[in-house]
Amino acid sequence: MRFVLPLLLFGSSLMTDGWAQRKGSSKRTSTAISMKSETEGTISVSFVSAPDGVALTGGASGQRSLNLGTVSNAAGAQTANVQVQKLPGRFIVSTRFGLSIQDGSQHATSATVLAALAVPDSAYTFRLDGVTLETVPQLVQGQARVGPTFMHRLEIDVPTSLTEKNSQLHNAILFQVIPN
Amino acid sequence: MKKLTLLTIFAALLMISSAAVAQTTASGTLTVTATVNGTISLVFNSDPSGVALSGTGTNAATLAFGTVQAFGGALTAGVTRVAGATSFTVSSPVDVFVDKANVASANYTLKAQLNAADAVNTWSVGGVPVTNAAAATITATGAYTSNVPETVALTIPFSTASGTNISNAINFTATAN
Repeated sequence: MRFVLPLLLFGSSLMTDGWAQRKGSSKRTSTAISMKSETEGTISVSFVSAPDGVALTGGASGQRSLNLGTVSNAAGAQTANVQVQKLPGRFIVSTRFGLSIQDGSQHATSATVLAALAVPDSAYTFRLDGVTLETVPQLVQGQARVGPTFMHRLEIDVPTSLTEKNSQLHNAILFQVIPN
Repeated sequence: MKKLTLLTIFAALLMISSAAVAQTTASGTLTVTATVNGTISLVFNSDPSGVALSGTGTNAATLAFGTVQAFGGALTAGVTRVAGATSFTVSSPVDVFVDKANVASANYTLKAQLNAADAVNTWSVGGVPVTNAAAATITATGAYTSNVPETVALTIPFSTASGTNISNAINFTATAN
C-alpha cells in the first residue's frame, strides 16, 4: 500500500494537469512549466563534423546529412576527407563524424549508443566503428560519456559487381541513446 | 469504485511509464548518401616469358630491351630476336591487365599509340603496327581481370649506327564496350 499510494498521487496530478489544459488558463501555465522541466531533463544526441571527416549538412543537430559524393574503385573519392580502400571484389568508402550526448538534467554520466539502418540494404554493407549495421539496432558504444564529442568511423562496402543500376547509395542511420 | 481505482492506477502507470521512456532515451538520424561511379583500370604486368618490367603492376611501366644487336651476343632475359634481310626485330610479351568495377561491360577495346614519331624504327603491339599518327586497335574484345599477353616488338634497320639509343613510349587506352 505504501508503494501504491505515491503512484496514485502522482498519477492523479498528471491527469489533473491534462484536464486543466482544456479548462483554465492558470492551469495551462502550470502544465507548460511542468513540460519544460521534462524537456530539460531529456537526454539528446547531436552530430558534428569531424576535423578529418566529411562536413555534415542540413537539419537539426540530431538530424544531419552525410554526403560522401562520387566514389569509384579506380578514381577513389572526389570529396574531401572521404577515403577509398581497394580490395579484391569490393572497395571501402569511409569517413569520420562526431557524436555527442547531452543530458539537461545532468543525471547521466554515460550512455549506451545503439545504431540501426533505416532501411535494409542488400547491395552495400554499412559498418560503424567496425560494427555491421542492420535494421535491428546494434550496440556501438556501451559506455559513451555524456558531454564530450566522440568520433566514429563510418565504412561502406561497395561490391565492384554492382553496376550503374545500383549506383545511388541512400540510407539513414538511426541512433538510439540510453543513459546507463 | 474498485474498478475505477484500478483503472486510475493502470492509467497512471502507463503515463509514468511513457514519461520515463521519453526522458531516458534519445534518438538521432544521420542520412548517408553517395554516388558510385563505374570505372575500369589498366595496369601492366611482367609476362613470365617476357622481359621483367620495372613498374610492374602499375599503369606506367618500363620495358627495357637492353643492348640489342642483329646477330650474336647476349640478350636480356625475355627478349626474342628475329633477324631479317635489312633489319632485325626484338620483342617481348607484356601482360595487360584491365579490371572493371561497377560496370556492366562484357569486354573492352584496347588501343595503342606511339608517343613520339619514329621515322627510323618500326613498332608494333600484338602484331598491329603502332605509330604516333593515330591510336591503333589492338583488340576489340579484351577480357577483363586477366593478364592478356601483348607482344611489343621493335624493328631496327641494319643501317642504324652502333650505340644508338632508342627510347619511346606507347600509350595504351582501354575503353569499356
